[in-house]
Amino acid sequence: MKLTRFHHLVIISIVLTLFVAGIFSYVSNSIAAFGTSPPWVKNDHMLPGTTFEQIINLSRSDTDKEMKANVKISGDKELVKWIKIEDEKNLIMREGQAILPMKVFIEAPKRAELKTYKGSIYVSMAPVVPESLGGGQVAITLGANISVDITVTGEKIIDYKVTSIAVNPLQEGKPFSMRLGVTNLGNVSVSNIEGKVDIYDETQTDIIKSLDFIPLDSPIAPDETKTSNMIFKDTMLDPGYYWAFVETFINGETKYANRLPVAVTEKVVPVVMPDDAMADLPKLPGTGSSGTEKEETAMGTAQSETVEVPVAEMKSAAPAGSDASSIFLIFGLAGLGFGLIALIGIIAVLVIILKNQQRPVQQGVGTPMIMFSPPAPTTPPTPSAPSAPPAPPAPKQMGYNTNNGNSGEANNVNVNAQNQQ
Amino acid sequence: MRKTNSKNIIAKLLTPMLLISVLGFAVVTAVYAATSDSVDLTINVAEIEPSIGTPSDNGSSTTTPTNVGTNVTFTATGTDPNGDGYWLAICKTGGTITPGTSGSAPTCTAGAWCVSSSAAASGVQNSCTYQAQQSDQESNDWEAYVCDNDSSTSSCSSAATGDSPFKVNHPPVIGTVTIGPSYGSSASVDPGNGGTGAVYFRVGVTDPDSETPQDTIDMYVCSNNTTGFNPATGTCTGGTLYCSVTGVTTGTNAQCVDSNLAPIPTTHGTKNVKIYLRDNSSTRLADAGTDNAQDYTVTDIAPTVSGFSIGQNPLIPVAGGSVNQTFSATLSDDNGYADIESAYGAIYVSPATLTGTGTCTTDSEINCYDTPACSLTGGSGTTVTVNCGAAGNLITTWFNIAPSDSWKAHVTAVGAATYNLGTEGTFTVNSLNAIDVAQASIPYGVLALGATSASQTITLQNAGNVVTDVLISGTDMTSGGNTISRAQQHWSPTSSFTWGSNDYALLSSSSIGSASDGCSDRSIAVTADHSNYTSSPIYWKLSIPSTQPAGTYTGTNTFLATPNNCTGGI
Repeated sequence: MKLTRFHHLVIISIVLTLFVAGIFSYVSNSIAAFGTSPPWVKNDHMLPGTTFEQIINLSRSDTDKEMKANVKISGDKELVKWIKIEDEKNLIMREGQAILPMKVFIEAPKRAELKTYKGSIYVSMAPVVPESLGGGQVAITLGANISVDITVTGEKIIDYKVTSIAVNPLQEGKPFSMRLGVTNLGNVSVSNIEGKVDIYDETQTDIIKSLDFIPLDSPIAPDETKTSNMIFKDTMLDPGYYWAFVETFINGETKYANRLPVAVTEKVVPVVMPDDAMADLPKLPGTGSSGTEKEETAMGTAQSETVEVPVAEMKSAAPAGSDASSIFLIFGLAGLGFGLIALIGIIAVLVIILKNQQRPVQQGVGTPMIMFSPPAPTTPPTPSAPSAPPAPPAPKQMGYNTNNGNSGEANNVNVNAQNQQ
Repeated sequence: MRKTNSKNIIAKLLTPMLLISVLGFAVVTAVYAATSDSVDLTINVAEIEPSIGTPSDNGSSTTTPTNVGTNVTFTATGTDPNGDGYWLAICKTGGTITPGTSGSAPTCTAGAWCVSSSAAASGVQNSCTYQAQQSDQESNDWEAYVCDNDSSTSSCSSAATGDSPFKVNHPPVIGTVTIGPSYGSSASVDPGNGGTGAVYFRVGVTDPDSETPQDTIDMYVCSNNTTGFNPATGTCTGGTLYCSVTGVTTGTNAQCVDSNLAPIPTTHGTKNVKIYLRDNSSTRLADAGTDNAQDYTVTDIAPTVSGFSIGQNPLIPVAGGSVNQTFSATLSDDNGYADIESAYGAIYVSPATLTGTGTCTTDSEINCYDTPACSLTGGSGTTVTVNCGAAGNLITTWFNIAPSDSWKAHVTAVGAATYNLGTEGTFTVNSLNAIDVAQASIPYGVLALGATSASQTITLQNAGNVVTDVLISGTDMTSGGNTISRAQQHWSPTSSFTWGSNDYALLSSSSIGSASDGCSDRSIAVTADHSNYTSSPIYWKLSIPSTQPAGTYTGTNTFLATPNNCTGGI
């Protein structure tokens, strides 16, 4: 069947229609989920004149658009004045960003009435770049209500929660220390945590040390969560493995307990780098700078370029420098010796030449000549003069014959033994 | 010269005399033979038994006994008046000796300790050897005979006892063996054994020999790679001596302890040792070696877990999305970290529970996530770090994860058995109040003046982990400078509602309260399946005033999630 131009147009139209319909059929009508975590700001123990801080995490499921958070605060009129949002005008979730921490401050004035205040922080999200809508449509934006519930009290409350305890890396000679993650749930700073730590040996059978907690190295503000160190300056542990049984209390009730492995590594000491060690060796004779000067230089270098290795390794490394020193000393002395021999030889050759030049020619006695080879018995040996061929070594066969003689003795013994039999 | 002459004279005289003598002897003999009668002469020579010198067992005595398995050498010298050779026979007592026939060896009627292998010449010492047997008595009487080696008629000497009896030294015997955490206990030994690291060996020992002085017994416990025992030096050939004890009285227990045989860590399982006994005789005889191989068991100690470190604490869920959680902890095993072959984990919160093997009784996005494999890193001594939720084995938590500060991180270690470890880490999951809406807009479409739109559905979805209500508010719809009041939009939880009847006009701002405050008490539950939101529809209608400029009007409605604090049920 031959297709006409009309048929072509119809087919193209159908394909385009299906294509467009297909596109819209895959467009999700859903908008990105949005929420807040936690969905409230709560504090039931604020002291007048203090500030409470809490982070609310704004989150969304789709991150392909840049969105701005609009904040509206309502509630008790005093509370509305106390609520501050950090960078409120610029709460933007960037493209690809799923979570935006929003920091909320509640500043209770000194003369705040002691009571409970309630309010809301409404957060709604809107595209930074407004989207156009078709006619007759109402756009939808999402948001969340963050309820605010604040109680101002005159009572000082000491409360905290230990969220984690870990032992700091320890080295021989350094004090035992731990780092504690603490959330201050009260309304006054916390620097004293009630607790104890029992340090056991590796087998967890014997207590090596039993320590009561000491103040943290930095206090934790009300409602603050922070990691702080506890350093027991007088407690040093020998290298090895231990276990720390840590327990914290509030009013005698155990609130946190954990058993932590403790490893104390060997003390490290600085050692001279290998290159510096070579520089520290005695100089060869005649090379100029004195060993003392070089030693000072080497020390200076060592102090600025050091590595730390365990004492055990250092002990094993120390003899190496001593051996190298000996080798250089031997080569130095040998060089000096060869030099002296060569000098004597040259002097001897010169003396012979001078003597021969001064000696008159004696017919029949000998031809005046310099005797290099073979050397006259009285001529001192020179390094350049070939030496007399060595006497042929005694044939080794002789030695073996001697041994055979010994073997013969053994045979004789055997014969005798046979005779005895 | 005179001497020479004398010699010549003597020679000249003696030669004729010698010839005359020879001739004379021949003549006399011939005459005697011719004149004498013939006589048959038979001489019977009596066979006389050989005599035996003092026989000897060469020093096998109480003080120098012969060890089982070694030889007693008997010697004696026989003398035969007839000059015959002789056999040496060492007979057990209570019998006699029967000479051999046709030159064969004699026979002891009560049994022989030994008979010489050949006959010795008369007057030459003969010997025979006997290898001491386990079955021999400690003291063994013997009597020695020598029997001549005559091919026709043989006779034997009388018995001689010499230094009889010979003494046999029997090896000590290993009796009941108990190896364990204390003397007499055969229980398995824990690594460290209560801080001592000791393994105790107790062996019942007996020396079969009872003659005074009674032997005492020494015990040696050697490593399993010992290939032999040198009783002379008390050393374990090729192996290591664990412990020893000397001078133990027979019939009692020999016991010793190696105080460092089960330190921490020690691998679990059967441990083989070799135990040797020797007596204190001068010959230091060791036991026969039949019960040397012994063993004990080192307990398979269940590992423990401590020092949890949680990756995200608190874990902050993302609206409609997921967050990966990780945690690590220190596993400790007194059998050594290598005793832990693998580990897996789970995070859960009540009311979820774990099975006996540490997996979620029911996997749930809300309260229980399994992680099938955790990695083990940094093993040293007894400890190894377990890491759960790392790449490849992510713990992907969803927005619907239950908020709680009592979430547990749990580790199960796998070694010789599966150890569901009791200690757990804890962490907090924050509350997340979130919504999603299935539709991107409310499409009222084209409406005539005074008309009311069809009911338009808005599907509110819970995209968080707390039950949520919804605050509803909106703006006026505008078209250029013209406005349709927001109040013309009404919503209702009923799809077929009549505009203006049992519905709620859109407010410019909503507040916590009831539907009339824009606070819709939808109480949308948390979904159990992240791919299928829990939802609640509300329906919208727009009524166009009868006098309203034509135009394309648009507006914006806002839905705020609020944590289930609306009232009224609408």
